[in-house]
This record gives sequence, structure tokens and C-alpha cells, in this order.
Amino acid sequence: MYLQTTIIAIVMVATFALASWKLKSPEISMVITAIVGALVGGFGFPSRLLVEGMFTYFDVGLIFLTASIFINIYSETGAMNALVRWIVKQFYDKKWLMLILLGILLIIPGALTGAGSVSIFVVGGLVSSVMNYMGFSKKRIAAFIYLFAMLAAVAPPINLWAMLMAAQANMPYVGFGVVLIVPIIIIAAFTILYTGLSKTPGRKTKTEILEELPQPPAGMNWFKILVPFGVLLVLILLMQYATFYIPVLGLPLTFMICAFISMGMDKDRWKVKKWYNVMVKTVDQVFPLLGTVISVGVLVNIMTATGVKGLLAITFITLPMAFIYITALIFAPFAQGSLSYGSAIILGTPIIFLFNSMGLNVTVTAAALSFLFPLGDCLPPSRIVGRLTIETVGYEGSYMSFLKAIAIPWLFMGAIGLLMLLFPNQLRFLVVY
Amino acid sequence: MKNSVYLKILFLVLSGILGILGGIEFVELRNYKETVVVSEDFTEMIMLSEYLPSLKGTWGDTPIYIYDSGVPGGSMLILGGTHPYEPITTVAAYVVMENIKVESGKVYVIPHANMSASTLGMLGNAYPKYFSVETPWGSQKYRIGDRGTNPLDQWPDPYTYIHYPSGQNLAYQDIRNLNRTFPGRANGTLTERISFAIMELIRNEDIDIFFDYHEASLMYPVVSTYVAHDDAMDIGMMAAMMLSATQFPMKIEASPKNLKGLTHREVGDFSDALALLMETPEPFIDRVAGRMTEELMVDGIDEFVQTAAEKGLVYCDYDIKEGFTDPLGNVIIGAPLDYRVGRHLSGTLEAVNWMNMFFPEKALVVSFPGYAEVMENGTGYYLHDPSKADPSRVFKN
Amino acid sequence: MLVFFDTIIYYLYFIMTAFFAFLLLRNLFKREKRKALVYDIVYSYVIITFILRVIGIK
Repeated sequence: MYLQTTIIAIVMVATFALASWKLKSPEISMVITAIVGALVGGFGFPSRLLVEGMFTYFDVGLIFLTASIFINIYSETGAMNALVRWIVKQFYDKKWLMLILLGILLIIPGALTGAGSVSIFVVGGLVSSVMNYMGFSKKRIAAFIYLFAMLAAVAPPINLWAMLMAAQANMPYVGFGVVLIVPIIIIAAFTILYTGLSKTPGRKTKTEILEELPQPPAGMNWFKILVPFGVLLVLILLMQYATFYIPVLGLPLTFMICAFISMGMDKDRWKVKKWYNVMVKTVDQVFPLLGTVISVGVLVNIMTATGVKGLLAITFITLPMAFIYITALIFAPFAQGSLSYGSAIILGTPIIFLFNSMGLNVTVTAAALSFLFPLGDCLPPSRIVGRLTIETVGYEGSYMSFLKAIAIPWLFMGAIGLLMLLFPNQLRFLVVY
Repeated sequence: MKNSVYLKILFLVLSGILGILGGIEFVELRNYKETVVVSEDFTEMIMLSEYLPSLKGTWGDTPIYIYDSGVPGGSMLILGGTHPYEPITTVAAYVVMENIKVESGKVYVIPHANMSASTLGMLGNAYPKYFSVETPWGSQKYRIGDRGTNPLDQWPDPYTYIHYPSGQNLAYQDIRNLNRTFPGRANGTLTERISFAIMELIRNEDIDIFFDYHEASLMYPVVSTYVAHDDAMDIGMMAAMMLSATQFPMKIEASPKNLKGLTHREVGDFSDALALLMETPEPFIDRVAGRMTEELMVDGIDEFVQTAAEKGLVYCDYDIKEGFTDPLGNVIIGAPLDYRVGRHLSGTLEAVNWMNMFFPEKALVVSFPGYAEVMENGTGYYLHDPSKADPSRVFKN
Repeated sequence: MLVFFDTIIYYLYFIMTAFFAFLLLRNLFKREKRKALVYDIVYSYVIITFILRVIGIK
């Protein structure tokens, strides 16, 4: 079985490389790889497995669609520009305070929903445009947004990796608060320093920027700016704290409600054609992500069917401990790149069991892993958050240069995660119930 | 320009054909019915919606098979298929239903506790749709389902699942996991309502002993074990000791107090029943398992899991080469279907035995084939041919 | 009452999915970005995913 599965794995990797190179579309390359894998694996053309795979991350796709629709409609009303204007006005001379504020803004949506991508969708555009006006280079902006999106996903209350690992290992998802927040503060501080200490030669004066920024439309006021976000926050908090008294809304519907409220705030609220066009454009804009999550599911399904997924998992967890530590920074992110949150289930859970049997603290271990997995959100085949960052920031260099741009804070975060993985028992004091 | 439009339509049609081919299989799985021939002691079949009318007409409704001896005594409820991707639990429930004799007391069996979840494959896990059990008269086909309720029946998921009534945060997809939604809510989601209805059954019918059948991955510490609520700990301990000495290795775990939503915790806390959950080893659902095939489901032989076993990473006996020998002298290679079915059967009988000893007033006198019989004759031997059975005793699930 | 709202939301999701299926279909034939042929294929199977959900197949 080892030999056969290894051959299938090699064929799949080769197919993916070739298809990506020739077709320039990671989405279709994943599906082609899946089909080739199934053929080589002796599954023929498994239409059911292929179609089933398309549904694996269907709900995630819906979240992407609806979150972007909300934010694009919000921007269309001019509220976003007004907000950027206000931030620049208030914080132009207080760079550090502003970076801290932008960091917190980025962390909130992801912390509440467990998805870094939601952070970028909801506030990424705002942060990017403020930082742009403040003269930061695109590289630093990309690094700042990507890093904070990862931290947002890791931040409590909702850390999906830790929750999934806890669920699989039958341990309650409690005691993660401090052990997540402390490293997050350290990494956030590093990222803010890394960004803030960079040179901003092209920085314009405050007056210039304010002139450049589009004037807010007539009638724009704080009420209109804040209500859509206010409703979003209230709905999310209600779902967390009044959950037994309200029906299950789900994130897609929540975002759609906020989108409609944004429309209601605009004076053109009845111009259906206008909003329809915004939605059409949004679908065009997020399609690569949607295509990615649909396609990566197909690939994962075939990797599972052929045993390639099992091969990767067994290979990793049977490595000697020293190798696990050495390769964790490679294995964990790449698992995330190909399996998304499935990484926590496939690799995370066996590691939890392994560490548990060695008497190491599993809460710290799970927390540590949840810092390592998100690092892979910029890695192929899916590269979801990475590509999203590039789109939002309007980064124009190659994907490799983007990876280089985020390398330093990325490695810092990896190092922190690795340290936690190495010393779970020494850090046990951080587990506070 | 025109060519490109035709091409787009062509792609759409081709994708449509793929969708139809896949779709046919989804519809087939969702509507496939398993056949069961109930034993002569069967008295009545009712639907779960009798205990919560809002389940009527939904895929959350599921049959309850009742075996009433008419003689006063204890009562038992068996759940199979709480997690339909552990389908041996349903087969074990069927073997009970087809062969049980009840001399005193009353027995309730729900072979598909989460019917909805048994009607789709598990996303990302690429399971085959069915597996078959060989019988003397042909083969019987059963569904392989999902862990959670079908999204076609319960949609959407929240961004985080908050367990009722404890308020504990759980991963969002666990809102569709029947073994995380107990004790349930009458006005909650479909899965919470199924849990609530089962709790109502337990409370209204004064169930004395409750079994929830499961299967576990071998790398999960809680495998080959009873998980017992505090009240059922004595029974579980004695039964586990007895089984390990005479039939097969069986462990016992106490139901953790701070882990909410699980049957063994909530049924024990929210009713008077003695709650036990049993886990058999199922390599099929191990995260390191190789190719996903029907053989793997039936034989439980996997090289990657073997590697894990050799490295000391599994929590039960497992050997695909030499096998291991149980106290009865059977050599078990891998984790075959008969072995897993037999474990559930004897696990139930042994615990009922000890309940009868500890609580003579709850005496429940039942018999059905146990581990030794199933290992000797095979599971199929105890499944009856529906074409030769009295039609009033043939049911479709 | 909550069950009633849950049911309404359940149907809203199907309507939402149908709407997105329609938008995707429109974009398959008329879009600004990523006009390459391979993306026609990606659009096609993504649309089918949405349709299969809308008609309650998967």
C-alpha cells in the first residue's frame, strides 16, 4: 500500500505542477489533479466523489460571497471613504496609536467568527487604504494585513483549529483564552514595530491626503457610517450570548442583513440596478476564492479516497519527535494550504494524542498548533488568505515577492508557535480556566 | 465571439452531466432503504415524532422498535447510528432486533438515531456509499452515512455552536452532531429536537438502562471501551472486567463532567436511566487510514493503521499480520465486522446482567446472540431472509 | 416559534443560493476579469454546485 500510494501522490504532485504552469489557474489545476489521482488510484472517473468534494467548503464559499457583498455595498454608499477620512484626520500624527487601532480593527471580525478571511473582507480594504495614504509600502501593508488576519483567526473566543482539535480529542474547548492572547500580543507588537519602523518616504502631508480623498456624499453622518457595523457586531454578539432565544442565522445571512441595512442608509436605496451591479461586480471579484474553495474540496476528497491523505498523516506522526519539531513549520502550514481547516483534524488531532501520551500539556499544544496552521493560508494549492490579501491591498508584484514581503513577521509567528510546541509543560501556567 | 458562447454552453452542459451523474448517486443513497426482519418478540413500531410532534414529516423522524414482554421488569433503550459513519452500530442494533427474546421487561431499539445523517456521505472523507454483510441467503446492503445531520435538513450552521443548556462553546459543525446536542431543546435545531425527543422517550417510558453504540478511530484513547455516567460506573466496571477476562479486551472510562452534549453525560444527568456508551475499533475512520474502500469497512485491515499500531500510537489491540488472540481463542486480524458487531452485542448483554444483579427490582431478562456466537457463525447468520419472512415482520429503514 | 423562524431561514438560504447561482451564470457569459477559457470551466462547475444545492440534491 505504501508504494502504490506514494506513486499516486507523486503523480498528483507532478500533475498539479504541470497544470498550474500550463493553465495558470490553481482552481482548475486542483480539479485536474484530482481526476488524474482518481484514475491512477483505480477509482476510474468517480463523478460522485468529485461532486461531493465540491460541497466540502460550500458554506465557506457562501461566507466569502456575502461578506464581500456587504463590504462592497457599504463602500458604495461612501461610508468607507468617510471612515478613512476620519481616521487620517485624527491619527495622522499618531502613527503608533493608529497602527494599534488598525490592528485591533483587523482582529475583531476574525476573532468573533474564527476566519481570518472575514477580517480581510470586512476591514481589510479600510486598513489598506488608510495605510496607503500614510505612505507605507505595499509590501508592509500586505504583511501587516496578512499577519493580523492570521492572528484574528487564532484569537479567542473562536479559534476554529483549537475547537476542531478539542472536538476530535474529546476535550472541552475551555482554558484557551490566556494561552492564545499572550502570544498574540507579542506577535502583534512585533508586527506593529516591523511595520511602523519602516521608512515612509512618499508620505504626503495631511492636507494633500484630505484633498485627494473623495468628499463624502451629502448627508453622510456618523449614524450611517456606524449602523451597518453596529448591526453586524450586535448580531454576532447576540448569536454568542443570546443564542437560545434567537434562531440560527449563520454568517452568510448575517452579512446579507448588514448589506441590506447599508443599502437602506443610502439615498439611492431604491435604485435596484445600482445594487445589482455592485453584486455582479462582487461575484466577479471573489470568484477566484470561491472557485478555490470549491476546487480544493474536490482535491481533498480524492486525496482521501486514494489514501494519499492517510499517507501524509502517518508519515508525519511517525517521524521521530525531533523531526516533528523540525518539520512542524513545513508540515503544518502546507497541510493548511491543501486542507484548510481539515489540517487540524488530519494532522492536529494525531499530534494531540501523541503529545498527550507523552505527558505534554494538550491545551498548550493545541494552542501552539493553532499558531502554526494559519501560516499556511498563503501557501498553495489554496493560498486563500494570501490571495485575498493581495487583492485587497492591490499588491502588484509576483506571488513569490508577496511571500518574501511577509516572511519576517511570518517567521516570528512560526517561531512563537514552535516555542509553545516545544515547551508545553513549562507554559502550562498560561492555561487559565 | 459566437464560438466562445458555444464553448461556455458546452462547458456548462459537461459540468451539468457531471452534476447529474453525481446527483443520481446522492439521490440513490438518500432514498436507499435497509431491510430488517424483527424477531417474534417484537410488539410495535412507533415513530420518534410521537415524543415531539414537530419532528413529523422531517428526516429527523425515525422508527423506534418496541419489544414488550408484558411481564414487569426493567426497560432498555439501544441507539444505533448516532453517528452513521460508524455503521456497524446500526448492524449491531439490527442483529438485536432480529434475534431478541424478552422474558421480562421492555426493550426499545432505534437503529438509526440520526436518520438524516445516514442519508449522505461525509464531506471530504470519500466514503463508499454502502457496504454489504454476507448471509447464508445472499448479501445485505447497508448505508455508510455522515457524522452530522444532512445540511439539506438543517441549514445553516452558526459560526460557533453553543450547547444548550450549559452554554459551552463547541465547533460550529457540532450543531449537527447528535452526540453533542443532548439533552436537546424542543424548539431548537433539527438535531437538538431529535435529542430532545429521545430524552422524552427515556423520561416518559422510565428507561432503566441506556446504550449508545459507537465506533472509534484506533488512535482515539476512548476506543474498545465503555463510557459510563457516574450512576452506571459500577455496572460498567464489572461488565468491563468480566468481558476482558472471558471474551474480548474492554476498557471503562468515566464520562467527563465538563464535556457537554454527549449522551453518556446528559442522559445520565437529565433522566434516571443508567447511561452507557460503547466504542468499537473502526480503522475506516482513522485519520491515517489509506484507501477508502468497502473492504476496509468490512475487514478493518489497513497498513497505515498497522504502522501506527507498531509505533504504539493506537489504544487497542490491532494486528493485520498475525492477529491477536482473544480469551476465547479467536484470532482477530485487523478489526473485522463480526468482531465489532459481537463486541456491541456482548457489551450490552454483560451490562444488563450486572444491572440485574445490582438492581434486582429492575430485572430485565433478554437474550440475543453474543460475541462468541457472532465470531463463530458470522453476523450474516443472524440476519434473516426478508423474502421468506412474514411480511408483517419486515421493516424498511 | 423558533422552529418556525429556523424554517424560514432555511428557505432563505436556498433562495440566496439560487440568486448566487444566477449571478454566477450571468458572469459566465459576461464578465470583466479573468476572461480566459479555463475560467469558463471553473465557472461551469461552480454553478453546478450551487444548482445541486438549490434543487435539494446535495
